[in-house]
Amino acid sequence: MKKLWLLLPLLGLFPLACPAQTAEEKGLEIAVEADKRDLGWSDSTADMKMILRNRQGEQSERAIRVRTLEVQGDGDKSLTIFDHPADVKGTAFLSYTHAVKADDQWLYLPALKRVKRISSANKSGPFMGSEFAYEDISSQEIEKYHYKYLRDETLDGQETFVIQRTPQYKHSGYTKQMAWIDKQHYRVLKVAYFDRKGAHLKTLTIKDYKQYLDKYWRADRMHMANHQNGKSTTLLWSKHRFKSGFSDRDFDRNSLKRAR
Amino acid sequence: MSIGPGRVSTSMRGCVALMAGFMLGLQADAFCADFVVQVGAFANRGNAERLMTRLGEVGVFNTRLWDVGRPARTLTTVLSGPFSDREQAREAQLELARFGYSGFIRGCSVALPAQHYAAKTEPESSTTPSIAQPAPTPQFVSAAETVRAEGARSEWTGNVNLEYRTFFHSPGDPRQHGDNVSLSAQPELYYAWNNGRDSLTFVPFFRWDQHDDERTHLDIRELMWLTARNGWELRIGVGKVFWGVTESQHLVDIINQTDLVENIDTEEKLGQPMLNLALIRDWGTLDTFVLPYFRERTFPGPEGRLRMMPGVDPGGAIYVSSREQEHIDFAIRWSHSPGDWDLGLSHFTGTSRDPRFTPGTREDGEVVMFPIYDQIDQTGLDVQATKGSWLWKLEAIRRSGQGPSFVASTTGFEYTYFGIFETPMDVGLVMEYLYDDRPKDITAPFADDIFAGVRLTLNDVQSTEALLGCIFDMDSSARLCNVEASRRLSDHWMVEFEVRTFQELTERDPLFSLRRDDYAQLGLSYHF
Repeated sequence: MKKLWLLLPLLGLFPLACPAQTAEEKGLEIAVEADKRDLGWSDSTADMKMILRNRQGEQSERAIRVRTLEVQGDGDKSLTIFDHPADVKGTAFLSYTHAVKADDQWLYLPALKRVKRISSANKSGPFMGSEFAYEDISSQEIEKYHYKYLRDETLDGQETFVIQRTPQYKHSGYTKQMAWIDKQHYRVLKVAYFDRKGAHLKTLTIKDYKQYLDKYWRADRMHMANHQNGKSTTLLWSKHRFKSGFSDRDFDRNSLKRAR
Repeated sequence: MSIGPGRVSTSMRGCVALMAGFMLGLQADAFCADFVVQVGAFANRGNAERLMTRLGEVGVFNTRLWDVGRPARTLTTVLSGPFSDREQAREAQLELARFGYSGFIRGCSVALPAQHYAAKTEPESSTTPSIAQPAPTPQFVSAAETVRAEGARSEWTGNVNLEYRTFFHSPGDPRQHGDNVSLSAQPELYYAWNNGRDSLTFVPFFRWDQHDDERTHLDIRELMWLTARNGWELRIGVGKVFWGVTESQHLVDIINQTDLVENIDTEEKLGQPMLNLALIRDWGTLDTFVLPYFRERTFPGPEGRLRMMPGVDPGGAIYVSSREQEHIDFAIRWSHSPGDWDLGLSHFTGTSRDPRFTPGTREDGEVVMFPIYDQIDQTGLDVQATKGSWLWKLEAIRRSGQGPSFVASTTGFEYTYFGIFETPMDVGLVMEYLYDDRPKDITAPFADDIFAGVRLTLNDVQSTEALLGCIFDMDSSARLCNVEASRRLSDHWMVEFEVRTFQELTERDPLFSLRRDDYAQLGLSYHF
């Protein structure tokens, strides 16, 4: 009981030492909550179809399969297998994302049977010629951004928090991002990207969220519109599966060579 | 009677424990929280297995068998899934219908009592290929029994390539030609089972060449059985293995013989018979190889360009080992990727893939070069450090058994400027120093040379890429330059362009015989 007495003054002081929450603290709190709600899925697999459209409306398609291993305390590991177009069939990409330091990335080239470690400094580069940059689709760790709560907003009938994210990692193509996160489930519904000059570059709209294992929300449709070049890319996700029992062994250079 | 997702979900919890240890390493709750499409139910398990095999043949791999009923009267169901929601299950149902298989959607009803299950099944039973009498009480088979239900999958891919080569200068040998057309095909059949842990790959290769009979050839690039487990992988058959990190030459890479008639860049390889065991541990991967048969290098025939003069007669190969091509070679390699380093240390003992040459006279009186295949020992080291936009590379070998022991190395870097001029384009600069302490000759043409190159990656929808580079001899003004570029035309078609030039070669240069063989090549390939 004596020990509790010691705590009392601390409890009394706490509100004084901690004045009203700043916009930065609230922004971080929202990001932490969103992250917390998506913990514990262990591993996942999904198929993705990518539809690329240019300014003239001409389309081309890509198909990939992604499997991901949740890594506690660091970025996730992922293995991407390319299925379409036919000339890239069999190519595979292994990535160990990290919160702050550079990601580790290997590419498997089936024609040469060669595993090549590649530089991960291409974060702002386009993924498979699409309007998605590598940094848009890689694992979103809390430490990657500084956050700031901006306002509440109703988006398509859903109550959302609007927060600003400032990339803290090297080689980002953005000065800032604005994210709309729904208040009920803490899912990202929309992101606006601002380029190195501060101009509005792209808008990502995320739709058709579905809940898996009574907990995890995954979207079936992501649409990225580039406002500067008039191109857009739609990602259609399907066959989401979780907890298949993958281990680190399924995400090493040997499994990269075997990936089909 | 229809099966509503709401009704089924209440029974899902029950089967969680029963399905623990379910095949494919799939965790039970992932399966049970989902929907499945039942494609069939059989009293005879063999019939169920046959249906699953047929489904695999049309590309439906996510199937499994599930037994219900007493051991004596088991009903085996064929289930496709699981799917996370009803909509996905419906998509799968439609896809199955396209292949002529009708199925119906249910929840994880394997936990339901059999009567319940039967009642649900019966009204839709006309959609299943066969329905047996359901057992009166439910009983679950052990997980071990369902293991054999793991899906198989097969894939048929490949490419066909048409190329046209034109040479800038008239040939040095009157039997040679000024231009050339060639066609190649490389289909690939892949069959995997055990959820991809076992696979069989078959890759034949065929080329037809307009002029060069030696370049018209057939090879089995791959015919490999692979079985992968948690700590090891075993490969038995014919295959290809690549070791190394550098771009200008591949010193450490030694398992496969070069298919030199394909391209003078030595990057095309012949299939190598092998037994390869890889042990995968925390300290890295240890690969051991037994190579029971030696493949001779291919050389252009009399009418082919890009060859030595006099030409090589591969029929007159001389072996140091009395076992000749049947000499059994061994190799071992440790590789590891700690942090931003990639390391490889290897040793090879056996027949040298690189021949030496000796001039001789053939029976028909023509002076030719005969290849000599020595018995060598070669230790190789390859290192890459990936530091931001910089890749630092080293390959070094020490070889004995081919004249005096010698050391050779390639050292260099690749620096990539990503998104140059605020465009999506990447520009990479590659520079490597090529060293060899042998006296310069045809087996060691790059004794003191520098490779400098530029790699352009447009990152566009067509995946346009180009590599321009030259190898400069530090002891003379000789240089070899090349351009390789490719661009996608459509989902299936690609166009490739290649130029190679051999400039300022003096009579002392080992590549002197290539001095008139500058060429440009246009290729068109169809991928399927």
